[in-house]
Amino acid sequence: MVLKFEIKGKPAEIINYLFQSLLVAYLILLLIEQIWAGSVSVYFNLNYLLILVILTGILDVFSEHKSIKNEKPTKKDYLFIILLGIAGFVIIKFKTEQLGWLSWLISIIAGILIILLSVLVLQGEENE
Amino acid sequence: MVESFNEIEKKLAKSFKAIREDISGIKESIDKINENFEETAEETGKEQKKIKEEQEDIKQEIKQLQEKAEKKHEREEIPEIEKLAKNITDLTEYISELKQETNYLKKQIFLFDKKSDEKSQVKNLIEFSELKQDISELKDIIENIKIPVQIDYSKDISELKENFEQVDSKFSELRKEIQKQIKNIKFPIQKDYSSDINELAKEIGEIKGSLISRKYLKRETGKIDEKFSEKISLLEKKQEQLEIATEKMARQPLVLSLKQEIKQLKEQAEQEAEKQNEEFSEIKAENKKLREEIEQQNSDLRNEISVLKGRLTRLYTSAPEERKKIIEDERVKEKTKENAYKIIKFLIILIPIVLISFVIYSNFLASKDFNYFYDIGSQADAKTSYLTPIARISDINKEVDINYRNITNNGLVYFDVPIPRGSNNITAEIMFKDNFPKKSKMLIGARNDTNWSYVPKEVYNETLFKNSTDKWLTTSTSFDLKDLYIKDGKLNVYISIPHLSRNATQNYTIPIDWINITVHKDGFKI
Repeated sequence: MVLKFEIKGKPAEIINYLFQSLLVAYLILLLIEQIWAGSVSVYFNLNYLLILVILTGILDVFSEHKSIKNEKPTKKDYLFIILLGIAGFVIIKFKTEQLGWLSWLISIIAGILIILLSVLVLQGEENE
Repeated sequence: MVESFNEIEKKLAKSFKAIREDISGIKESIDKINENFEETAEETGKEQKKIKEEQEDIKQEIKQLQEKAEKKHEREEIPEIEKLAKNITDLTEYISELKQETNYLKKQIFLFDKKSDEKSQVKNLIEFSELKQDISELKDIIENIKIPVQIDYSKDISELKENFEQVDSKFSELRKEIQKQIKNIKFPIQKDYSSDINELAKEIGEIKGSLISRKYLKRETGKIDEKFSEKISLLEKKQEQLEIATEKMARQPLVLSLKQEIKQLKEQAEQEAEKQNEEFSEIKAENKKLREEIEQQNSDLRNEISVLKGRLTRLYTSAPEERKKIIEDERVKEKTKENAYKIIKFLIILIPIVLISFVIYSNFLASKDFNYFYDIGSQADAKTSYLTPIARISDINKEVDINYRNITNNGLVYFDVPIPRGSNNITAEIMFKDNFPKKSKMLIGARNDTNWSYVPKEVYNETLFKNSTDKWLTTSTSFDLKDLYIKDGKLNVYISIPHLSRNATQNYTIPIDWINITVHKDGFKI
């Protein structure tokens, strides 16, 4: 299907930039809200931010994208994945603290899963 | 006389001797006959054995023939059957010869028996006649003797008579013995022979039966052959017809398959053509779009070129000072454009930073009062009631401009209050109608433990409000959040009206118009 409407040039770049930053902001705030319930929602309604994220996302779909070059994963990428896994482990541990020893088991498995899946995705991209 | 008696005695002895000799001769002849019979029996036994063997062979051959006859299509075996039939006819002839021989032997045996009987009878008769003659001679002698010596020889005569009787009895015994011996000889030979004859007759009957069955089989096989040949001819005709039909049939599926293939190929070709048409139309559309884009780009470029041309003409036509100004202006414009993009990008990056910093500030630095107004009986309350459980509150009622709900049975209702992090205290204000009976009260409690434990605070009693019956009143109380239990950023609060749990005063329901909660949070203090 050929899209008739397409944003090009600098506006497309700006929309892409905006969408990414809003998405990151939303995800960070959502994470904070999940860890410390009420710490965000009391001051700021996250649903408004979500609407903005969706709108910018739709615009981003119709805008021009630069071709992404497949690069070999570096040590930094793997380190980032490990950090993400640890972060996931910490968050899940914090949220499931009431479960006792089961909390440790769940959070460790979740952390390992995050790392393994991320590595798989990274290597899959490399193979492509 | 003595001499005559001696002579008689001698004669009697002679006659007895002769009789004995005759008997021994008869015995010998009987023995010989027996021997002959044994020999003939042996011969007949051998022949019977041979016949049995041959019969067994014939039976086996018959079996083989029967097996072969079952295979109707094997016509090549017929000569073998014919050979076997010939053998069987030969055998039957042989058997008939044997039968004749056996009949001849039977006759001979019978004649032997008869002769032996006759011989013995004749001999006996001769002996008897001789004896009779002797006796008559003796009688004559005795009669002749009687006259001269009547008295003296009476004893002798009686003795002679006695002797004669003894001899006679002995002779009769001997005769009986001979007869017995003859009977003994006759009987077993006749019996054996009859059984053998019966067996032979049976076997001959079986052979005849088999021969008949053979002939029947031959006839049947002949018939079957005829039928078989007829059937073969019919089958050959049918085969020819089938071949013709199959040729026709073979042509039909081939034609059909070819038609189907042609149909499929046509369909495929149509589909491919459709696809190609679609692709072609897409390509056309793309081409059109590209042309439009190119035209657009060309027009843009033309515009740019015209602009540039205009500038250049201005530059060339203008004075050198003016030229400098124009160039500077254009540089400034380009720079401003680039700066604008940079600023936009910066602002975009600032959005999450600002948001996160706002959240951090609000949580840890800012001093703020959070107000939560629960309008009981409002539209929001109608959708989801603020107070729970719903069974302990009435439907929404209206009084002039006031919408409210009544707290009814049990008199204990709950609601949640969001508590921001770092909050210090909470103030709960409530508007209600005074419908309290005497000596009653109203409490507001805040949860202070994981178990069901609340800090109650009295917000109404008779001493606090006087002469306020049927009036809308407001009252408030505050709690220190340090002592309270906050779960998931929420504090659970209850309103308790104890008189509603008593039967006597349960009709004194209390109308609630609103609840106003103020949560105070102190700011960051150095």
